[in-house]
Amino acid sequence: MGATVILLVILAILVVIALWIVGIFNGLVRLRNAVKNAWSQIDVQLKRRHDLIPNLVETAKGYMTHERETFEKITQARNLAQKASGPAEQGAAESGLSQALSNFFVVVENYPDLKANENFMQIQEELTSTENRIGFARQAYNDAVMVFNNKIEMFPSNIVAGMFNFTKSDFFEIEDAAEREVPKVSFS
Amino acid sequence: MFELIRQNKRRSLLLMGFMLLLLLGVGFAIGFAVVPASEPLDMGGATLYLPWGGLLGMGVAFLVWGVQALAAYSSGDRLLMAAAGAKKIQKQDHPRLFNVVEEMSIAAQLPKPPKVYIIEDMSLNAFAAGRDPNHAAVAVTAGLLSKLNRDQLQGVVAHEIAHIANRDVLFMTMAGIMVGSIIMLTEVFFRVMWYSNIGASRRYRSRRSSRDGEGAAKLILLVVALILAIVAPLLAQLLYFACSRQREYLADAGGAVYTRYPEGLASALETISGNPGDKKSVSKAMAPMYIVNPLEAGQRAISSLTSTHPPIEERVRILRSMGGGGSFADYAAAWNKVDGAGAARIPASALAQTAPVAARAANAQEPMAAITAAAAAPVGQASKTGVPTPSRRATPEATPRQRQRDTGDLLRRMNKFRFINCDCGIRIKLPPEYAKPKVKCVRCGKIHEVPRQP
Amino acid sequence: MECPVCKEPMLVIEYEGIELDLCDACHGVWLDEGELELLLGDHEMTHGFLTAGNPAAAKKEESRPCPICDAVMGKAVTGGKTPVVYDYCPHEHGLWFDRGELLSILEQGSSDGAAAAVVQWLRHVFPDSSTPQTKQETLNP
Repeated sequence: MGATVILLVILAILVVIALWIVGIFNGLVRLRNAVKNAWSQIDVQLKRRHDLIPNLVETAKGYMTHERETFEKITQARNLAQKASGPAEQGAAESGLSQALSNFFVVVENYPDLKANENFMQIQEELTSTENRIGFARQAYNDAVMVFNNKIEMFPSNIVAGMFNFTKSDFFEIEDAAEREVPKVSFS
Repeated sequence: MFELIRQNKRRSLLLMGFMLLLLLGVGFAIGFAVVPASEPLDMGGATLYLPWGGLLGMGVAFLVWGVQALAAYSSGDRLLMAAAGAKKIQKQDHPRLFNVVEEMSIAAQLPKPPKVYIIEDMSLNAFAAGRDPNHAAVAVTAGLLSKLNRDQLQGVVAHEIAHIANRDVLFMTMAGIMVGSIIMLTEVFFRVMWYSNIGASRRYRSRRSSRDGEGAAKLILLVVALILAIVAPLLAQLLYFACSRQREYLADAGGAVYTRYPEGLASALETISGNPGDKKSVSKAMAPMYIVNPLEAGQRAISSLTSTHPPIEERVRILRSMGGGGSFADYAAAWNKVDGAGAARIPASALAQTAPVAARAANAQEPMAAITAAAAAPVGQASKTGVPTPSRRATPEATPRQRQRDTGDLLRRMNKFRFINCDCGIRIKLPPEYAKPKVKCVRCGKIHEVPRQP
Repeated sequence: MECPVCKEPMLVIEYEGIELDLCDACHGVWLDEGELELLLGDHEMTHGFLTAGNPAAAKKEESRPCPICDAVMGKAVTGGKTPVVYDYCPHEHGLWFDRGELLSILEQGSSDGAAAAVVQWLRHVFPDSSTPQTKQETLNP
C-alpha cells in the first residue's frame, strides 16, 4: 500500500517534469520557427526588389535617353544578385544592387519630367517600400533572434535547449549603410 | 512578444470575468426589481425563496451580450468595420497606405498583413479590429491619409498593428460589447421603472405579505438592485478604461519599436490632436478602439479615470523622451522619466524582447524631423552592445497637395466616380450622377466619351 | 455635388496635381474650405483682399445654396479695381465663384510668384476666359 503511493507520487512528479520539458521544448521550437520565418521574409523582399527593377528601367528609359551606362549597371547588378548563391556572395551582390540603385536615383534628380511621371512615382513608391520591407524584415529577424537566444541562455530553458541541441542564431549585423555581408545562419 | 501577449491574455480574462459578473449582477438586479416575488419552496422543512425574476434577468443579460459577442466574433472584423462605416480597399486604391501596412506587419512579425479599410471622414483617426492576427483589419480615416506624411502614417499604422500583435483587438471588442450591453440593460431598466413604477405592482398582491419581515428584506434587496443598476455601468466603464489606457501605452511602445522611429508617431499624435474634427457617428463602446478617443477630441483631456486614452500630450512627451532608443526598455525608461519613477507598467518580459537598438534617422525630405532625430541618434550608429538598425534610403514624400488629391481620388473611386485623362494633361473626374454621354475638355475642347458606370 | 446655379452634377478637374470642382454648364468653380489658401499661399494678405470690397455691391446677385450643406451662402466682395462678388458657405464648407471670377480674384489679389503660377495654371485650364467681368454679366442676368 505504502509503496504504491510512493510509486504513484514519483510517477506524478515524472509526468509533471515531462510536461514541463515538453512545454519549454515547444516554446523553443516556436521561437526557432519565428527566426526561420523572419529570415525567409528577408529573401521574399529581396526577390521582390529584383522583380521591380525591369519595370523601373522600362519606365525610365523613355525619359533618360543618354543614360545607357546607368541602366546597364542596374540591370547587371540585378542579374548578379538574382544569380548569387550562398550568403557571402548574395550579400555582396545585394549591396552592389543597392549601390547601383542609389546611383540611379541620383541621376534621376536631373530629369524632373521623369520624377513627375505618375507611373514612375508608383514604381518608386514600390521600390522604396521594398527597401523599407528589407530593413524591417532584418529588424524583425534580429528581434526574433534576440528572443530565441535569450531563451537558450536563460535558466531554466537553457537546460532543455542543451538537451535538444538548440544553438544560438547570429544577428544580422550591418556596419554601415552599404550592407557588407549576410551572416551565416544555422538552423539545427 | 509571446510573454507580453500571454500576460495580456491573463489580465484580459480576469477583467472579462469580472465584467461578466457585473453583467450578470445587473441582469439579476433588473430581473429582481421587476419580478421581486418568489414562491416559497418547501425543501424538507426549510422554506426557500427562489428569485425567479433575478435568474431570468441574468439569463437575458447573458443572452444580450452573448448574441452580440458571437456575431462580432464570427464575423471577425467585418461587423465592427461596418459599424464604423469603414469600407475595404484594395492595393491599387491607395498603394502607399497598403505598403505602410505591409511594412509594419513585417516588422511586427504578423502571420499576414491585416485587411485595410477607409472611413470616409475628414477627421483624423484610426483603429484596428479582428479576432486574432490572422483575422484582423486596420481602418484609417480619409482625413488621416490626407494630413499625415509617410513617417507619421507609419507611426499610426504601427500603433494599430501593435494592438493586433498584442491581441488587444478581440478583447477590446468583447469588453466593449459588454460595456455596451450593461449600459443598454440599465437604460432599459430605468425606462421600465419610469413608465411602470414598480411599486405599483404591489396593487395586485396582498398587503399583508409586504408588511411582515420578508417584505422588508425584499425592499432592501430592491434597493441593492437599484444601486447596482446605477453603479454597474460606471464600474464597467472604469474597468474597461483603466485597461484600455494601459494598452494604449503598450501600443505606443510597439509603434515606436516597430518603426524604430518614435518621432513619427509622436508628431502624428500632435497633428491629430491639433485637428479636432469630431466624429459624431462613433459609439461610446467603440471609442476606446481608436488611436485617439474621437469623443474626447477637441476638449483638452485631463488625465481622468474616465478617459479611455492617456492624454495625447503625455503620450507625445514619452515618445520624445526615448532619447534615440527604439526598444521597449527605452520606452519604459522614457515613461518613468515623464511620469515619475515607477509609472511605467511594461511587463518585464517585454523589456527583454528587443535588443537595445537605436532609433533610425528621419527621412531627408522632412528637414525638421531629421534634425531632431539626428540630434538624438547619429545615422546608422548604434550603442556598442546593441544591434544596429538598418539605415534606409529616404522615402519620396508626397506633398500635402498630392496627399489630398490621392485621398480625394480614393474616396471618389469608392463612390463610383469615372476618370478621364485628356491628352492635354487635364484629368476629368465625373460623379456617378453625371448622365450626359459626352464631356468636353475645358482646356483643349476635345470631346470625350463618358465611360459607362463601373 | 450639384452646381448651386444650374443644379447639374459638377465635375472635378485636375491639372498638374491641382484640383477644382467645375460646373461644365456654367463654368462656375467651387473651392473647398482652405483650397484658396493652398492656391495662394499667403493667407493673411488674401483674407484682407477678399473682404475689402463694399458689401452693397453684392445685393444685386441672387443667393445660392451651399453645394455641400444646402445652407444659403453669404456674399462677399473683394477689393481691387474691379470688385468681384463671390459666395461663401456660412458653415465654412467653401467658396463659390461664377465664371471667370476666380481668375479675376487671383489676378488682382496678389502679385507674388505663387499666385502668378496659379494664374498661369488657370489660364491653361480655361483658355477661353479672357474678360471675366463681361462674361459674368451675360451669364447671370
